[in-house]
Amino acid sequence: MTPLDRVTKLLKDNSYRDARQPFGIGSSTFQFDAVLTAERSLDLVILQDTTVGSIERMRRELLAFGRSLDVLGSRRTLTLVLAGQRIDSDIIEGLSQVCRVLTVAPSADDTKLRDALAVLLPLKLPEATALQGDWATEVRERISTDLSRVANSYLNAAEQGDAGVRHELRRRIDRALAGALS
Amino acid sequence: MSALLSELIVTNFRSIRGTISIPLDAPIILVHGPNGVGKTSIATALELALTGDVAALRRSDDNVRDHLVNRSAETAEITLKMLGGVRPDTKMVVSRGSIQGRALLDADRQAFYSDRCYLSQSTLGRLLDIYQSPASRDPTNTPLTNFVKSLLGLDQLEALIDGLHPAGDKRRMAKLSTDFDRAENLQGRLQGEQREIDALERREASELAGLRSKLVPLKEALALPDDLDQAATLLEEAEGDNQLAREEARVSGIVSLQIQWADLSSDDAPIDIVGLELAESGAAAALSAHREGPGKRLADAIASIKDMFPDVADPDQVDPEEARKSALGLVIREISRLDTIMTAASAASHSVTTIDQQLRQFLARLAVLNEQVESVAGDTASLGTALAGLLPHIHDEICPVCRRDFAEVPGVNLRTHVAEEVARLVGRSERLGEVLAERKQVQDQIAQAERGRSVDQSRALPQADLTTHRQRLSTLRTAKAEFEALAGTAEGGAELRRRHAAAASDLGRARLRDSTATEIRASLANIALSLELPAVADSEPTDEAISRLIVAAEAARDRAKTHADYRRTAAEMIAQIRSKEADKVARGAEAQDRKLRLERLVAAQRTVRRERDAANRLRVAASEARTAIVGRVFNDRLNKIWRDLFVRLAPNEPFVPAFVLPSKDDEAISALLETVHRDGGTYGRPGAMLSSGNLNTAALTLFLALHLSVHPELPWLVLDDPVQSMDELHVAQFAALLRTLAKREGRQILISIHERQLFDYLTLELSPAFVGDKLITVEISKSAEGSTEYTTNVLGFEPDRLVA
Repeated sequence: MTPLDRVTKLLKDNSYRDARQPFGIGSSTFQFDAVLTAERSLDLVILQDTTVGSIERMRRELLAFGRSLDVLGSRRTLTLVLAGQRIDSDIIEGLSQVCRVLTVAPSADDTKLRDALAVLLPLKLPEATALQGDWATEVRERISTDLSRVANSYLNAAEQGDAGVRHELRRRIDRALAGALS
Repeated sequence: MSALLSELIVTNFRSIRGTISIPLDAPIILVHGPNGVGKTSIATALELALTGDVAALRRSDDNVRDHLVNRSAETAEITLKMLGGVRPDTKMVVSRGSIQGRALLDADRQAFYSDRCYLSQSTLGRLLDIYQSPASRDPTNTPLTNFVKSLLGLDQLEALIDGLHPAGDKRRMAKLSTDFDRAENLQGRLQGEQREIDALERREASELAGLRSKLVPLKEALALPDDLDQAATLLEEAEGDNQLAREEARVSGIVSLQIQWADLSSDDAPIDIVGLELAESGAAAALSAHREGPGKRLADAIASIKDMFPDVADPDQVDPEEARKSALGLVIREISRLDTIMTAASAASHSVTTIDQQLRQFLARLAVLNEQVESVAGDTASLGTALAGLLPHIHDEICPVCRRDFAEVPGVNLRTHVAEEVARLVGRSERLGEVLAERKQVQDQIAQAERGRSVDQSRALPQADLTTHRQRLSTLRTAKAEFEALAGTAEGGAELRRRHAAAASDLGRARLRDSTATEIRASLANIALSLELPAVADSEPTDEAISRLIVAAEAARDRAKTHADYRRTAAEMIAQIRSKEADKVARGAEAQDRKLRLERLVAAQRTVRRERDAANRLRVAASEARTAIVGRVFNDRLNKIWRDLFVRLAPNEPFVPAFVLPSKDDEAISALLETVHRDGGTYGRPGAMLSSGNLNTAALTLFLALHLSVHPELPWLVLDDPVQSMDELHVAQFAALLRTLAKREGRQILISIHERQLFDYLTLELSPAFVGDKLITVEISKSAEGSTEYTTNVLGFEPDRLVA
């Protein structure tokens, strides 16, 4: 499996499909090795293996394609995925003016591959936990109902810091002892 | 809840002058405007309408509430509409310092919004602080820790845990509350007292039982009633009837009779009373004969000097010889004294006579001298002096005093005449001085003689005294001769007196003995009667009767004594019993009081224990809550989301920021950051490892991670100008992330941007991509007059011209 194949597979596994090529814009026709797109999206993801293709030819093609899209008034956004040999950063800089450029090293394992393409992939949010409750609610959930009235006074006092809580504790103790100390 | 904000209308709020109405009912709202036109005002207006507060601004300015209204207006108004919420809309009216209106969110959701939906400039600033602050030695007091604590409410939880800490331990409680300490001490004391009193009660009860059992035989012996009060009264009365004393008196009475009897019976000589009477009368006759004869002479002689010596001894009372000798001594001394006085007086009289003669001579001479003084003292020396003063004024024969011509007097001129007269006057004056000196001498001699005379005069006796003295001397000399003559006879009188006295004494003793024996027997008879014994018969010898009576009386006394002992013991016992019973009653009242106090205290202590128990349980709950919150936030999940977001925005950055996960639950919360290399291994803090652009990315993604790590209670993200510079962010990646959040994760996003280029790019990148998708852009600017102008653009979906 070439790096490009792995990219294609990963994207297709995440609801991308092959775009219908070639793209005819006016009199011009644009054809790339592989272009993917997704439903409910205006993305065009152009895949290019740097090891086998001609970078210079591809650069020209891409610039022309971008210009044509502007002229056409298309809102599609271009993403170029370069798999294989590293290429000059100058070229990548130039390409970045017209499209989003993602590079995939030939040695990339699955994690690195996924990292490289992350922006194209849906967020994989772990199981959403319950609402991050208010701290006071968290405490209330952990006490029995018979304690809730007492707890309220302490929870209010906690807003004044530990001195407030201590004051409340002392107040309650002193009140309990009031009358029994004579 | 899938609430959707639908419209925001803001009037005269902060930088916004006039009214702007912003439609919000799209997944993404892009707001653009240069700095200072009111982008933050829109975000703040949204916050105020949702939470009723401007917490984000307040972090940098406490008085921000006073400056919420635009300078051009008096009041500001904010209206917010919402779809799918509890309420459809709210209107807040702000006038100087006061905010009226009801926030759209409830309290819990307000916190959620402030903490996890709204990335304000100040929150972003704090997030950046976290990276830029120097490493602190105290990991519990770093900006990150503080941020995390306030985000999670850990300050309050820690206040609760620390504040309730004393409840777990008595010593800490005592430190906290002096009343608690006092209650503990009081309870200990009361319980100790209770134990002591219980022991005392037991001791007293056994002592009381002992006393009662000892009292039983005494009660029988004394025939006392069972009632102790009556018995005590009876015993008190019996105490007054002093039987023992009577019995003892009787015994000692008999004993003294016995002693008297023994005295009488010891001298057994027969008594001849008649002989004794004869001897006594003989001696008396001889004594009286003597008293009539020589005795009388002595008595008379002594009587003659009694006037002079009142304390002279009486020969009838004392030994006549002694009386005579002492009287003689007195007489001789008096005679000698009187003789001396007489001689001195006669010498003084003689001296007075002599001095009187001298005085007469001195007085005659004084008279002569006085006459001489008078005759000389016609002209005086002073006149002479005055005339001498005139001499310088006499120049011729005219008198300077009377202006007459002295020439009329023949033979002498005036000057010579005056000079002679002066000389004559001066000579007479010298003679007068001599006479006066002599007179002074005579006067001194007279005074001296008169002083000597008065001294002698005082020594001489008056004539009456001299007569008296002479009479006394005569009497004394007569008595002296008589005393000397009576020397022999007085001794005889003394012997007669002694004999008579001896005879009278013998007679008295004999008579007394006879009568005493009779009295003793009569007393014995009485005593026998009082002891209810057989009477003393005449035939019974006195000794035997006495012995018999003593035995009986002593037996009676012993019985009385025993009885009295019983009574005393019984009275003491009864007194003890009654006092102990009274003590017990008194203790009972005290014990009741103590018991009440103890019960009250124990009840209060139960309440205190309940309070402490509640406090401890609450503390445990708070501790667990803290652990749970910390565990829930600082877990792999948060780091995972953060990493995912960070990697999206900075795909080429090998170091990824992460929280150092807490190792122990009970540790003080310290939030620390590190970086993790994508190939594994942890490295330094993000501030040291990341470029500034990537730090901005880290801050932004941390906020988004916190938002995404919990259930989307409110599916909103409001980002107020999160990108200060395009260069600091991979714009294309950021746009893709926003799109993912909005379109895949269902968040409604409002983001304000000040950079035109970024705004344009985002407008393009976030264009609606499917039917129903929507993008709203708002551009704000200021007119030349300063009022706020704005244009809104709602982009709907239209199929792209490039089919792909």
